[in-house]
Amino acid sequence: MTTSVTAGAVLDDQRPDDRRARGGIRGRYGQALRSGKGAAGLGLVLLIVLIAVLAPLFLPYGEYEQGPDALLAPTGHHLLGTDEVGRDLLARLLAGTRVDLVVTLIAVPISAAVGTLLGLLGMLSRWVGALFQRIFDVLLGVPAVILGVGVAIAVTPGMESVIIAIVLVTMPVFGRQAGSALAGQLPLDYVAAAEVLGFPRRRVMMRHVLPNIIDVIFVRIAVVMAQAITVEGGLSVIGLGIQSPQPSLGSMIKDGSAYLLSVPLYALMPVAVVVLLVVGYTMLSDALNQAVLRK
Amino acid sequence: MKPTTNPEPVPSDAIVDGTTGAPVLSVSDLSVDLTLGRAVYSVIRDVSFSVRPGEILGVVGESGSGKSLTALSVMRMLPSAARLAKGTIRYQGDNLLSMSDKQITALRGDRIGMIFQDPMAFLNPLMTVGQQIREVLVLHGTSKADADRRCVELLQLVGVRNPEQRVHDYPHQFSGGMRQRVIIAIAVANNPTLLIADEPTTALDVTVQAGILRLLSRLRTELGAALMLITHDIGVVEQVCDSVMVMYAGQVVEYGTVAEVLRDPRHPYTRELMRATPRLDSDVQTRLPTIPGRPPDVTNQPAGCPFHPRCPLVMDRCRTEDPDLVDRGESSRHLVACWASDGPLGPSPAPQVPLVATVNRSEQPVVLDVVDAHISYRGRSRLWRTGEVTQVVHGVDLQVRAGRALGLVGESGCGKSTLARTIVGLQPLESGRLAIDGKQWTTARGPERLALRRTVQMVFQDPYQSLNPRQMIRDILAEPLVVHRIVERDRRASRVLELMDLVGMPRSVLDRFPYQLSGGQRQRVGIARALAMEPKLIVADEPVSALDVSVQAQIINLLADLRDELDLAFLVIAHDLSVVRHLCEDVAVMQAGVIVERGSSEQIFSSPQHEYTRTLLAASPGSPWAELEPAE
Repeated sequence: MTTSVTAGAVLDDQRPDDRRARGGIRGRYGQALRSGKGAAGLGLVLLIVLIAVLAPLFLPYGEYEQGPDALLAPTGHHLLGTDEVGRDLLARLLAGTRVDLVVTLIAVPISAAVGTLLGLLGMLSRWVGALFQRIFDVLLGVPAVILGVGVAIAVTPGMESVIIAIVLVTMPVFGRQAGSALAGQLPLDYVAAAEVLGFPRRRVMMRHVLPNIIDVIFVRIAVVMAQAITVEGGLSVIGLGIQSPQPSLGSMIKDGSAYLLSVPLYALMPVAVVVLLVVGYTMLSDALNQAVLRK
Repeated sequence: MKPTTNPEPVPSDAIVDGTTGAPVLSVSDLSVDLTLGRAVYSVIRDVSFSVRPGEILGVVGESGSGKSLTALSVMRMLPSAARLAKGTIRYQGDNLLSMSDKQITALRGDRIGMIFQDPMAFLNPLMTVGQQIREVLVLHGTSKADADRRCVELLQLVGVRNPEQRVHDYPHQFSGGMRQRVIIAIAVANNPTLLIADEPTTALDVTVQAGILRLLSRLRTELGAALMLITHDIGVVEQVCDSVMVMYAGQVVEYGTVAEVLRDPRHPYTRELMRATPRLDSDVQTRLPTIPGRPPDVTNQPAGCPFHPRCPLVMDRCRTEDPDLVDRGESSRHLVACWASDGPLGPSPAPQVPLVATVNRSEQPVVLDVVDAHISYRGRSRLWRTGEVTQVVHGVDLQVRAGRALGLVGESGCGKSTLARTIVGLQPLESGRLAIDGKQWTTARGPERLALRRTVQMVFQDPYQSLNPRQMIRDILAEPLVVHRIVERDRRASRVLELMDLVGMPRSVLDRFPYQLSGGQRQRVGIARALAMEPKLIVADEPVSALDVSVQAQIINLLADLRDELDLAFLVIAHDLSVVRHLCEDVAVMQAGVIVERGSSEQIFSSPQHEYTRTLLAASPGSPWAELEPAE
């Protein structure tokens, strides 16, 4: 019956950032994971990680082990069947998932750390900061696949080139995010206070501004993990990613697409894993966004 | 909680003589609950009042007193976490609470006008003010042909010059005070019978505030509307209100005519609030009386009378029993909720103490010497075109001596904050001399700059954003010691404790984060952090304007103590002359980038020479110059 306005307008002493800080880091991140969406997202991702790591211990075949029968339909021995040279598809799927997880778990943290630091350079020099922001804009404008092609030309295709490509594709996301978060912090008096207290700029950047913007970066990481999985997939599908015989989700999709009608699971299973990972990361990031940034 | 048997229904009689007719608004036994997390707190308890045509009721209180929630209840605009627990709200006899949403929407903006604190947030930046006034008119049934004419009339009514042209302007083309006038024009567009104004002048300069208050009181007479004015400032009540309701911790503690309540306050809170408000007719450089502690949190209400932990006249009974509102008036109604209210209040145990006598402080060395300072802003350049240059400070001279405080007063936009930022090194000096201890410091480099940097520190206006929210108090105070190696490593912890003692902070808060402290406590931490650098000069930019009135006095007194104990020089920036009166020996008045008058406090306050100084003085409560008409 009553029209509602935001509660913050009424409780004089509770400014928005106070409520955000209330409960501390553990509390807010914990809250995100306790929410249904956060728990489901994290559960999904962890389940895939656990299966990819533990299940091979119980498999009779390795991912490179060739058997006599090629392109088998699922049987009791080969739960997903075999590929064109008789390798167990389940073993290859699990190995491919591990490769994707390893690649993204190496690339995204590097990208987040480097991107955030470059994004904060505006703290040290307005010029350099602005320069990097424009570079990030340009990188964001280039499609991921074209960047990947460029990397593959410069570096031999393989895990390294995929990692470099993911870093290049995702770094501008963090760089821009950090840059705009910095712009939001610079006018605040605590930054001016640090300057008046004669703290070195680098210290203000690392000890004062960074802890105040790190939440938006953390929340971004979950989204970018999902994006990174699709970058690996895209590159490998066009043959510029992980190279045979090493399996990856993308290269399995590429190889399996030739047998889509005869052995549909060959290509569809890696597609399903990609979808599940993306859904899991996205749900996690939504929950973090709600609980940590209160949006 | 009060006993539910209320012996007398409060709003039965008029508070103010001479206001005739039935009340436009009458509220009785209003109680509001607030849900935070799983807990439910009672934030307004048994509030009753009424407003009659032509009456201005001032609702006074500090943060958390429930004054804004009371206003929102009347508008039926409570936030979703708040719930009306009981009570009735009648508008011209009709129960607002039983009306449908459609009926109440028809009343709002038509019969009931609202004026909010922040005019920019209320106005749509993409519509001309004319369109916005028209909207209200047409929505409530004015024909489109009449609406255009009425827009101009309304702008004229609220004192906007050249209304025919200005109806076509956008909100950003108006000054803050003019914007507030536009809001008022919208609020009174349909000749409302009730106006509710929530802190309408808080965001404005003092002289502009005076103009808006005069406008409100004129409209009351011309339109015969009833006005409910929510404010934290008892000076505003004194200037325009007929009746006053003082709220504390969600309850009415005193309610009566302004003349009676302010002459003979019967509740200790009312009196202490009046005494703690800086005034122009109090003695120069006396210690401001303070109310110890701070207003209670809604989540932690004391038992008994809510004011008893801070009350100078507390008795045993106050700790356990919450007094009822009783009529103590002789000629007019004067309701007070205090056990000691049956006679005039006993003398307050805290007499006015003069601040330490200024013995020959003019012999003290000059710490800050500003000669012919020019400062300008360069607009952001658009690639190759250089940005426009705006001159903000034109040739200012200032001197501050050790152990003395200089108050720099002026309205927003006059350049005082820019000058302050330049003195602490946040803004470049364009030309002139800015010397600390005789050394030009804005051009100093390297170790010399660092040494000079330590001698000038700053206390910021907004204690909510001047402390890093991610640092504990202990780290905030230790960091300057670490970075500048001010004390040996093994002395750091004890130095932090010393700093806490200096600013009167309990050591127990060392391991808290800023958001866990009140505004006053945060400001103390900000002061302690400045002291950690062992400065000779502290620049305080509006150090108390973000704080509750009862806390302001504590901070002003603290600054005065520090000046005397540590022989510090202070430059206090303020928009309000009454604030610097208690702290500063010298005053400089700044207008449009130049200093128009300077002198000792006694001199400036007793015989101001410049027109502008008199205008500023006239706008402050208790001013002997109040009969002067301040210009806008």
